[in-house]
Amino acid sequence: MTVPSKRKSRYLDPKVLEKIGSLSLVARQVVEGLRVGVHKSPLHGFSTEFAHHRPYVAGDAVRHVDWRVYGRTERYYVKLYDAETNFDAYLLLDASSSMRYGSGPLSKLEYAKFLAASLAYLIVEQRDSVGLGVFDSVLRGFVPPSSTRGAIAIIDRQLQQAQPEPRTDVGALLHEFARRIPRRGFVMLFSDLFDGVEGLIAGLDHLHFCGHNVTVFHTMDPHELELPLSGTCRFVGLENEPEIITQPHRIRAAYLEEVRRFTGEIRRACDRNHADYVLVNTSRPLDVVLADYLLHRSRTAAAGRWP
Amino acid sequence: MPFLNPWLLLATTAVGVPVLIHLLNRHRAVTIEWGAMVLLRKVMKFRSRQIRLEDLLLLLLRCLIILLVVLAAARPTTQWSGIIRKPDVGVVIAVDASLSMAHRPGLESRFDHALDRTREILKSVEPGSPITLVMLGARPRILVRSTGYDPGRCEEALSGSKPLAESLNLERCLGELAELFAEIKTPERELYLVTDGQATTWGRLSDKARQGLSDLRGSGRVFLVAVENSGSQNLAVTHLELAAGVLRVGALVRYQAEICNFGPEPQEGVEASLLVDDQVVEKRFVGRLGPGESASVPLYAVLHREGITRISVRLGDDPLPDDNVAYTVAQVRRTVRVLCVDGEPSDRPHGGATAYVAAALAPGGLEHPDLTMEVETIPWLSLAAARLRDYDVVLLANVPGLVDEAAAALGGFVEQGGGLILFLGQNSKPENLNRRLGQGEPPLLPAELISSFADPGGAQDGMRMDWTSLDYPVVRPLRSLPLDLLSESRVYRLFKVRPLPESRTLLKLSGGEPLLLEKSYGRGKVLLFTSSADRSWHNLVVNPAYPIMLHHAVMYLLQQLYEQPLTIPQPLVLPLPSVQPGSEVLVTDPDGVTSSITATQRNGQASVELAETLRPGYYLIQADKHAPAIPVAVNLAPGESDVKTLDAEALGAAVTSCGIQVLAADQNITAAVAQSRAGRELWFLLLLTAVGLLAVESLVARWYTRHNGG
Repeated sequence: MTVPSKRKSRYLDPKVLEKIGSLSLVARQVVEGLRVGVHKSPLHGFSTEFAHHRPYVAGDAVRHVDWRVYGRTERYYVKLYDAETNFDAYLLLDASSSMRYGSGPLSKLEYAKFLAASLAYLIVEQRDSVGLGVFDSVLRGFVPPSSTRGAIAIIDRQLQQAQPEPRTDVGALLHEFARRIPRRGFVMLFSDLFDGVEGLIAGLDHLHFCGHNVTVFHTMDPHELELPLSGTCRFVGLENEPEIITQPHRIRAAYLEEVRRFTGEIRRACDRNHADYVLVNTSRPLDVVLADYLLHRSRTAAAGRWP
Repeated sequence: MPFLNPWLLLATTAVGVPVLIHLLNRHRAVTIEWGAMVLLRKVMKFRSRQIRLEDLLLLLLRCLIILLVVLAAARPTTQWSGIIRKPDVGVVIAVDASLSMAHRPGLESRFDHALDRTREILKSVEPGSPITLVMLGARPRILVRSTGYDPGRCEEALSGSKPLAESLNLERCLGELAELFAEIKTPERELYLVTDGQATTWGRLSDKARQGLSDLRGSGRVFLVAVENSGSQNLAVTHLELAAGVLRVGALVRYQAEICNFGPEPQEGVEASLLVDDQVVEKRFVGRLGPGESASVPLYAVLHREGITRISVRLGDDPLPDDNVAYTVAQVRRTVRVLCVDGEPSDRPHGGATAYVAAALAPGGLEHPDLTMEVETIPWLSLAAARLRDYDVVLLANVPGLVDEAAAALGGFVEQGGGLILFLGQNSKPENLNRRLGQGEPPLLPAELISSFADPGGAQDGMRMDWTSLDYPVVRPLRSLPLDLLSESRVYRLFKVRPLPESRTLLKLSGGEPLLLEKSYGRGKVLLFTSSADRSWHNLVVNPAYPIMLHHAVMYLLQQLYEQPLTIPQPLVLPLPSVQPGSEVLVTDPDGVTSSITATQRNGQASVELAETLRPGYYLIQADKHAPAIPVAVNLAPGESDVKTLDAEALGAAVTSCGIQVLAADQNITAAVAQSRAGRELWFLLLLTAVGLLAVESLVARWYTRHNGG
């Protein structure tokens, strides 16, 4: 997987993204910029039918080695499957009010939309299916998975219609999707995860139990990550929380510690459930974020973590 | 705790400024819509309390800093020493020791009272504090200079001090006091001027004196401490001089003494005594003298002894005895020899230019020499051959001119102490006289002769003389003559002259033309009369003023330097021809203290010099212990005899613009000083603490920011 050149990064800077506006256009630019499709995508499907064994030869994927056979015979044999299936990817977008925050040209929601659109394009390009769920405290919009190019347009439209609402409940939504999704697939969550880590962890557990491949794109604004503010500030919550008046520079150290603890807890929960955790800083160029994620996926796949 | 600027305490309301700013900051908070409120809330759960405490601490510090600054500006003081050492107060005490302080109406003099006040002041001085003790007169006398206060040493200095026979030179003393005051290096300084408040000094303060007082006030606290004085009665002999007579053995002389009543009450039964060589030779009853009145008292004596004679006039005792005596010295001669050089000799009776002069000086002629001078007349052509050293005075009248030898002889004669009187006339040739007597270095003549002239107005009755300024010894006795008598004199012709800068005009016409001039030459003097000696150019010869003036002119020319009384503190300078420069000369002051002084060279001869005279009476000068003593009379300055004083109120009014505090004679000094000493000022300590707290506040605020800022 190649990392896009710096020239491309600038084009995909969030400031530039805001100007482009069109999710489809951006998605195509991102994916083509990454030259995915030329190389094998790290996003790949699952095979469920075991055919037979053959002896291992150099070059076979280690993940296909049947270790039980090795244990019995002390010889390496790989499993052969009938075929790899296409997968269904579900993009879950948190459209709660807190996602409305943005210190720069793009809010977290807008950035997440671009990110989701890019991934949707990528998935459709490799002829897998992608669907969308937009939620806050409940599921507001849903696009069933589809592998056609028209799905991109539908997803694009749905994304544009997504408007922030006050509350969110990620945990409940994850549980709902765990029940709704018929077969194993990809679940990509785009959220700031401010509604409660316990619910999220329970949801992740459920999804993991169902065999889904989960990626959590933890979307946060750079100001939320670093609290670079000074002076006396009256913080007004976007989800109707009570206001707080304080001097940010005086609580910064404690705040950063809290951010570290918060993200760390979510990361650990993801690790426990074999979910990918991507901390998305919305000040970073979109293609850099995606490239980092896809590179991580490649390495993970090569290490044989995923089936 | 007293404050020097209590009105500034109103500024303590500024303590509320940090609180106000704190509250305003909250209201001016920037509103931010925030997504990560859950994170913020978790932080604020435990940080908000910490922040409140930090804010409280910083607020307290800031309020305290402002409070300290305001208190420092209000200048609090404390009398409490505790761990703080008591304030260092340096003190200068200047005691008026002028003559008026010796006034003693009862058992104690003003000076005694001044010392008592000084001791009161010293009670408020901490041992070890720097102190300067000064006695003031014509100049300051320092008893103790800027040393740590030692009660024993100061008491010894005070006990040994006494009033000076001087006037108070306030301007000079204030100037030197300013230097002494500046030497005191303490946080607080006080200067005490202890004085009787003599009206002649304090009632007529000059601008320079006022400025001097103001300058002192600028360096510290200044107190004018009045001393108790009960009464200002005082009689004084203010002047004594030879009024008439020739100082010859057996001659009757008249001395004139001026007696003044300076007191507020009339004095009855005033009696003056004339003493010759400390023996009373005459007493004169003066009678009643009203307040401020003066009387001129004639006192007669016959001088029986040839040589230097001490003459004095005394009054009875009064509260200030020092000014009840006036002193003078007379050189009594066996004879006075005058050589008259006639420029127009004649055999006729009263002929010749010098006839009237000889008659004036020796009216009895040579047949009655005892009461007159010995006058010899020679024609002017015989001058060159005359032995001038056989005479005391040479008088030239209407001499046409002089040959070189005669001119040189005259110059030498005068230089050695002889007297020369020069009358002009129709024969006088100014170019010759100018050349012979006016071109030396220095010239002998008091003026350059130009030409004779008559009344330019052409008036037939002549030019009048100016009798209003009879201040010099030669003409002063003429004051006793009626003015209308003097005004009868007329001058018809005289020489126009150009006086030299070093000469003095003793008599002049009413139009200003000099008539009688005087000049010193070596040890002698020259008198120049610009008109004739006879009645050819004026009618003065028939006026009683003429012989009086001539007699006094001769006596004036004969007068030795030591016969001229000095006034304290004038320096004493006496030529001693018999002494070599560099040799030791004995000088005994009126108190009998003898000291040895090295004779110096002055004007080509040895002189003894005393920088100042300090006591009234006779200073005796001896070339050595076996040589006869030459007395020099020293008298008090008459100004100090007026001992009237200003009361505290008047003193305060006199110095009101100078910013100094006047303490009345009956006012408790200790209480006044304690009141003025507000104690140790704390402003510096408070300000220092405020600065320290400011530094602490900055460090704490910065630490909070760094520690909590991540």
